[in-house]
Amino acid sequence: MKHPYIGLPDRQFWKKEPGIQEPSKLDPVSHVPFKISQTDRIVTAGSCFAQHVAGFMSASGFNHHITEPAHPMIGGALAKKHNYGMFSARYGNIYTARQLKQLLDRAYGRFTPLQQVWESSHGDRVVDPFRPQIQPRGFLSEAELLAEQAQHFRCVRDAIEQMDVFVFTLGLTEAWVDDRDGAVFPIAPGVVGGRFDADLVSFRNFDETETYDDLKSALKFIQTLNPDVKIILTVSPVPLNATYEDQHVLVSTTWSKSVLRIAAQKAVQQISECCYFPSYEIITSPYVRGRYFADDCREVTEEGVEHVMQLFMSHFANLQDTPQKTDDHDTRRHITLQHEQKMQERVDILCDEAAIDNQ
Amino acid sequence: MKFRSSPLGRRIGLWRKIYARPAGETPVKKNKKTAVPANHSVLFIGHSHVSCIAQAAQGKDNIEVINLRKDISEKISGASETVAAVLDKVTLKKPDAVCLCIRGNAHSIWGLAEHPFPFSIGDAHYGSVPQNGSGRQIIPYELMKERFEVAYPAHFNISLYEAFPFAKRYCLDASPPVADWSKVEVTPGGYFGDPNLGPAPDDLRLKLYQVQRDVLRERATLDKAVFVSARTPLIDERGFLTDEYHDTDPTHGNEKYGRAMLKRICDMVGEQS
Repeated sequence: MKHPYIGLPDRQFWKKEPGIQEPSKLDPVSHVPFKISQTDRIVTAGSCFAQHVAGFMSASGFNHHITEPAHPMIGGALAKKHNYGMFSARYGNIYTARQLKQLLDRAYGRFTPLQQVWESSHGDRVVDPFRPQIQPRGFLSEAELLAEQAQHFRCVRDAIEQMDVFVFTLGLTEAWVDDRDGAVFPIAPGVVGGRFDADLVSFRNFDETETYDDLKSALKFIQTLNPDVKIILTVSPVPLNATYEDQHVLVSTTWSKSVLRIAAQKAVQQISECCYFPSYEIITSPYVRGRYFADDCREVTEEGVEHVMQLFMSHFANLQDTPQKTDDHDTRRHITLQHEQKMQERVDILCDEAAIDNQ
Repeated sequence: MKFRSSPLGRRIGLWRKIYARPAGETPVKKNKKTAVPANHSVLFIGHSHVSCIAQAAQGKDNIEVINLRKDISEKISGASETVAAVLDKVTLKKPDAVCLCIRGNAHSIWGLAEHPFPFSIGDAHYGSVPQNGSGRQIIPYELMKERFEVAYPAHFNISLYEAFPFAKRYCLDASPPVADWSKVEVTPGGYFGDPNLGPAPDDLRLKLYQVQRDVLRERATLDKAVFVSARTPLIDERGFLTDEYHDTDPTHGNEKYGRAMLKRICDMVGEQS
């Protein structure tokens, strides 16, 4: 008897997925339209899960293109604490497609939000409303914040214009918006800075049309600046931490992830050199039986991240490429260490001289 | 003079007014006598910046200076070992006051000469110092401050203070930088830093010193110590160490500087006793 499913590949049939027997064998990646060489400059952005992606890129030999590193004098641990190297530039988590669009608009001078600063939680510093946790102790003043922000925007522009591959992880649909100009904040005013004013700020939950429009607008803009860029979209599998909708957070999570997944798929269909990588599906699938979520049922375990990134590696990595990781930051740090050693020696000499003089 | 009339000059003038008397320092009445009160003993512990105090204190039995670099082996690491070595070495077993001046040269290491990757530091009024647009990488003020905090571990000072539980606590600031680059160029051991890079901008050097001082002052407050730093006439209108008070090198005060600071601290000890 003939029917349309005869002859289709095994991947299209649930019961033929090897993950049923062995979760680690789950591989829902069907086809990737391009490969990534180890010299391709990869720029990452997105929600919390995107930090895992970025971390993997940095550690795996891929060229995670960092355009906003900490000054080499600062040192690794402190730089990490201050969110340098978390993503390609110091933009922090970008949860919504609208946020990505507005970051680009701000970096290229196409949009200047009315709200430029928030008072810090302690009140003695200010924070950037669009990356309120980027500077753990905040900025001294609006002047310092804006000076640093101008530097940040230069680095964003460098990242966009220099990258070969853009990996964007969509995370949320819920957001808080400044009613005066539509500026979208990554977190509600009052949570980690600023003050909540219901007359100025309102809740938005972007639907699939709005999310797709924002995503398309952002990606098209990127392609006008960098026509050869390849784009990989993913959806974060991390459930919502909280919802402002009057419903259970799980229900909101399902709605939100559905919207993001639809928007991503539409973008893949409509935008050239753009593909989808199923991080969301790998972590949340019944094949893995929930084992990739930590005890809080929300955070993704290391094992889960590893599964995702191994598949990313096996499908996207162009292994025939000669590894030639060029890390400008390492070079800068090496030169700085040499400089500081030399300066330390000079100061030591001075100290010795001072001691001799005293004898 | 041109500098003084510039916005930055005015800013530094304001800075000088604010910091001429460091926060936390108890105002001291003018002491008519210059002699150190003989009945008050002060123990100074520190690194190279106590050398000028040692010079100034020669012949004074109530003042003892322990230079950790010179008098205690540099091979000793860690606060507890250092405290043990100090207690073993010290003559004034129960001083009225302990004044620490630990390390204090990081500002010079990072910014006496121009850095291979030039930077500026975040500033409340100007955005950054040197100002934005100079092509320098801005290091936010709070990040730079944390960098100093990493360089100067907090537990070291408190361990030394606690070794002398009955002594009043003072913290002596490192001497300010000198303005004259020619003084830097004639340092022992040859040219300071890479000759192709030249000096760091004056305002950056002052800013680095200011950030370092902010860290040391906060530490002193936490340690319940009075923080003492140089003020006019030891510093000029911008905050640089004046010519007559700096040593033959660009990072330390001379004996005259030591005498001035020793007198101030001894006056404070006397006032507070």
